[in-house]
Amino acid sequence: METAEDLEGLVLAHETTLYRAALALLGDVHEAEDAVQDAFLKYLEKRPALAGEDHARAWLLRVTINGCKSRLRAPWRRRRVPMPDLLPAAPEEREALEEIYALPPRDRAAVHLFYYEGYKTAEIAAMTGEAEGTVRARLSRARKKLRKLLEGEEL
Amino acid sequence: MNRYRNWMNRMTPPPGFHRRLMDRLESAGRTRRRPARVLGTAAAAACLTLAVVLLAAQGGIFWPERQPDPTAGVARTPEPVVSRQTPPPSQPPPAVLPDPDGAGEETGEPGPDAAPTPSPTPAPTPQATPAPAPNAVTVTDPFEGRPHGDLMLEGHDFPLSTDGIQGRSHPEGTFSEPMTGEEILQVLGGGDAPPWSLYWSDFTLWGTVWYGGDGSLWEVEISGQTEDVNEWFHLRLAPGTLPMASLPGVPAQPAGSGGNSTPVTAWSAQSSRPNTPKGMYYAAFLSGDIGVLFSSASMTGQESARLRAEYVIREYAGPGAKLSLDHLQCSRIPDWRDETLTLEQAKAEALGAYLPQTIPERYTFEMAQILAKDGTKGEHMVVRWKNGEDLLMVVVQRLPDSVRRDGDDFLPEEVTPEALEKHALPSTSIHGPDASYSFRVYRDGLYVDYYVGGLTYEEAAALVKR
Repeated sequence: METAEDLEGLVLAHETTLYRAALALLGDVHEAEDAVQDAFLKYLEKRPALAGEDHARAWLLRVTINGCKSRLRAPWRRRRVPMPDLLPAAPEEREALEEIYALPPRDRAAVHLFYYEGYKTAEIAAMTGEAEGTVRARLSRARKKLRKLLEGEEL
Repeated sequence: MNRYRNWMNRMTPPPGFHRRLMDRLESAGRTRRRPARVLGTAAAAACLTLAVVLLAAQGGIFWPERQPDPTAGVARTPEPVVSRQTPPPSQPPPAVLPDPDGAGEETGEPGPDAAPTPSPTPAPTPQATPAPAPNAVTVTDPFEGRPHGDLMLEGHDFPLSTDGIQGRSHPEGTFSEPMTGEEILQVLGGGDAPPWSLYWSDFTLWGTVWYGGDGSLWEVEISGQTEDVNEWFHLRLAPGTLPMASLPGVPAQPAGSGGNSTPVTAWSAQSSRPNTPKGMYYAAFLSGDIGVLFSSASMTGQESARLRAEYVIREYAGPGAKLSLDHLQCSRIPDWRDETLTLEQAKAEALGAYLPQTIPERYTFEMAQILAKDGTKGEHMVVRWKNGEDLLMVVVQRLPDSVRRDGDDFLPEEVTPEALEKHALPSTSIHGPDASYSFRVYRDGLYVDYYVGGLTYEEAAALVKR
């Protein structure tokens, strides 16, 4: 039986990771908060049997990403573009943000999960429901657009 | 990329978020079986921002502009920088069931819902091609676009409120259905045509209705856009409460009330950036017992978007509003399934016939999951085995509407050790390529994906044999 302390421990352990992933996809702090809340509500609904922190993290990230994708597909959301200029950033970071947020959302998700969260392409494929080749294509496409940002990095 | 990492490392949920989230979860935990409804009618009214006098045409609306929350997303103390050379600790592959979504926002195609819990299927998208004709309604303008004095409103300032509009979660098992043109017209008040208003000329309208898992009406969205896609709007409605409100710039500012008028939250955002709307106007209010969330945008200027929003406020927030949802009834509840299975149960499923008949003994079964949505949205099964750090994962997907063989897919008889060595996709991590690889087999109209770590090409090819 899960206690309130268990639940809070789960939230504390993962809320920032989920928030960052949602922010990467949605580009909006308010929506990112909603997406994180939705993911944990889904957890309460499902009560999945999670084998350890890594499994929990992966499960919650998957739900968050799927939730973000649903939000991005929503008609009222589709024509909006992220507004990184409304996110606090140092001037030298601003350029990087604008380049990354100019990517299509799914490419941006792949970039975030690969370069920031450190997942492998196969893991990202399993998480996003795409073929691994598609994830690799997304990363390849993103790398071309982010060439300057990625200068000196191993690809 | 380091600048992105540095920036992202500083991004933490804003102050108070954790507490709000815990309060919400604890509240939901106590009523877990019921659809989450954050805002009731009374609460919604309390959250409203702007009071709008809707009586006569002399009343106008002050549209507060969106201002970024200076504290939102800002970390108080920067965390250590994660450089490319020091990536986060390696994690085992996620035990996940892929989202059956086969369509991306790039294509604009509505796709199946997201795993693991069904979520709304999008309405046809405001891309260059409008919604499907059978469900669309075209608005005609008897004034042929000429300005009409009815809505020439002067601005009035109203006090702002202290509460923003809160989010609202999808109920369990949400599903959606496209609306017919007749249903759209009935929602908007009935009649043979949508209510004419300024700047609606040449709009095409379409709609989607979302139901909860129990078949109860959850939300409705009617969207419209012009053929040149320079003007569009979304009218979102919910019975008894405000619709889901994850919109940008919802003002976390204060509320007032204006006499005997209907309280309305209204705000706007302007942009001079290229390829972004010049003006976006939002309004939220209760029209009788129907919650309304309206957004209106224009790529060419602010005036048309503002007037559309003001029209909707005046038409539907005032006395005698004609919005109606009563005719929207769920005719059929889809059959959902999202389960964790044992290996034996997985093999007993229809998709289990596509699992490997034998697995090298050094691998042990880890988990299996299945997601299914009755016939129309497909079926996914994921089964994982582990041998230490080596993962073997098989994903079987039945997507009846979209599965076709791509050039890179194998047919079963093509899978040989030599072919895998030549054509399988090596997995890549942030450290570069690693020893694992993947390949897809197209068989009987299904996709079977193999994610392979620690197997020789001979062993991997044997997985496909039946």
